[in-house]
Amino acid sequence: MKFLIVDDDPVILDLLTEILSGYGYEDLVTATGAEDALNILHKQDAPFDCLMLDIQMPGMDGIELCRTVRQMPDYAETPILMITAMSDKPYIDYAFAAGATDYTVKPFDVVELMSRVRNVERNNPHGRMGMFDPTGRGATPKTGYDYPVPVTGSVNGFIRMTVLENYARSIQKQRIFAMVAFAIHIPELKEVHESTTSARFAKVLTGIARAISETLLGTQAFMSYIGEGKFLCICDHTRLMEITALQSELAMVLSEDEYVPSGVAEGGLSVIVGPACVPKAFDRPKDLKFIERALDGLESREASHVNRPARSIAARLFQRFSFH
Amino acid sequence: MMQAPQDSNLEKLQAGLAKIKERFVQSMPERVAEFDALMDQLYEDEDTEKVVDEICQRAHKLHGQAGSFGFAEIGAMAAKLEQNIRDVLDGPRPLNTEGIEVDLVAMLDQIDVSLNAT
Repeated sequence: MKFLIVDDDPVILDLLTEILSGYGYEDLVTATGAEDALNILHKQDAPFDCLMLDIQMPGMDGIELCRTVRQMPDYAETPILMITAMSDKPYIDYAFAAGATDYTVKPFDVVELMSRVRNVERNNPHGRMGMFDPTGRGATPKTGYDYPVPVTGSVNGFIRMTVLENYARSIQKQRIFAMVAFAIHIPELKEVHESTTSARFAKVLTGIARAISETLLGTQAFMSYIGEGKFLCICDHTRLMEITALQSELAMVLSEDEYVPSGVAEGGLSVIVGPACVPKAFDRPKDLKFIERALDGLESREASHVNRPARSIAARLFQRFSFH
Repeated sequence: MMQAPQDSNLEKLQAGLAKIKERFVQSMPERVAEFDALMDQLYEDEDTEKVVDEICQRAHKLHGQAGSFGFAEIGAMAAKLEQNIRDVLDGPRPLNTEGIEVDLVAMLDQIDVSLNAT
């Protein structure tokens, strides 16, 4: 792997270089600031495989650099690991919103750092956003219903599941508990998946993702499609509305043609939102138990049939007055 | 795929890290002198905002470095100083630097204690 390491602190550059070399990574280039880094990136013939960015630097900071790098076609999907002393939640949020793949806080130890590098390396083949081919038109084999299709286009807050997990771990590791996870199920997606092409399915998913993103606006939410018609969301729990209200609002937003064309599923799309689960003080960040609880909670809610899925008003009216 | 370093590479890595740590330790007297000089400037009614910002940047670097070399207490004190400065800089003018001076002195004391213990 070829690394570009950006930090205005020469001691940290020496430290990272020494550690990575010790683990067999010899192809290392360093930059002491964002402008320096951009010059290097523009001049390289072969793109870097991983970028490590400090945040607090004179001039352009690491978050802005990350955002700028993501605009470069060669680096749209390259892993970007933020290595910074900034441990407050807003910095972590800004970094992931700007396109970071993972986030680690200084001071770091060798084991922790290399575990992050291993994680990045393991997940690299699919890239960060790994666009689902929207022009596939059946040319590529159709993916299964359980496949976590990456949402196409840039939908605010939508990231790959592995990146969402990195985000959750980064927040939890700083013992910041102001976050909550919950899952959303759109049952009719199964019918859509069976009856349409991969490209069309991806388009519908993108529309639903936009609707979810719009509904969760202001909650600092990050989300991912995890397959089987389910979305996982993590957001600031102090800004999240009641789950029942969210379920109704999302159903209403989805009933508008703006996001998903009407008629995509007979009777419209329904929404089931699982319980909101917060991390517990004794949960270990690496286990992400609160995400597990959120997914289990959705299943229990569906199994119990206590809460019926919220359908849009239009869909309910359609059902009531249509003749079969 | 990443491999754990072989024994010989591990020794090389440990030796390399020890050298960087040594350089860090050797740089401390000069850094302490620079922090002292900045504190003097605070007392001398110089451009307070500029001086405070300079202290913040230096504390930020120390925060990132110290813990990585096993000086967690210095790192924690530097982090506290850095956060205090950011809070003061977000607050009203003229800047109230009393708390900054207290945290700065505490950090410099901690540097003495930690380095004398090595």
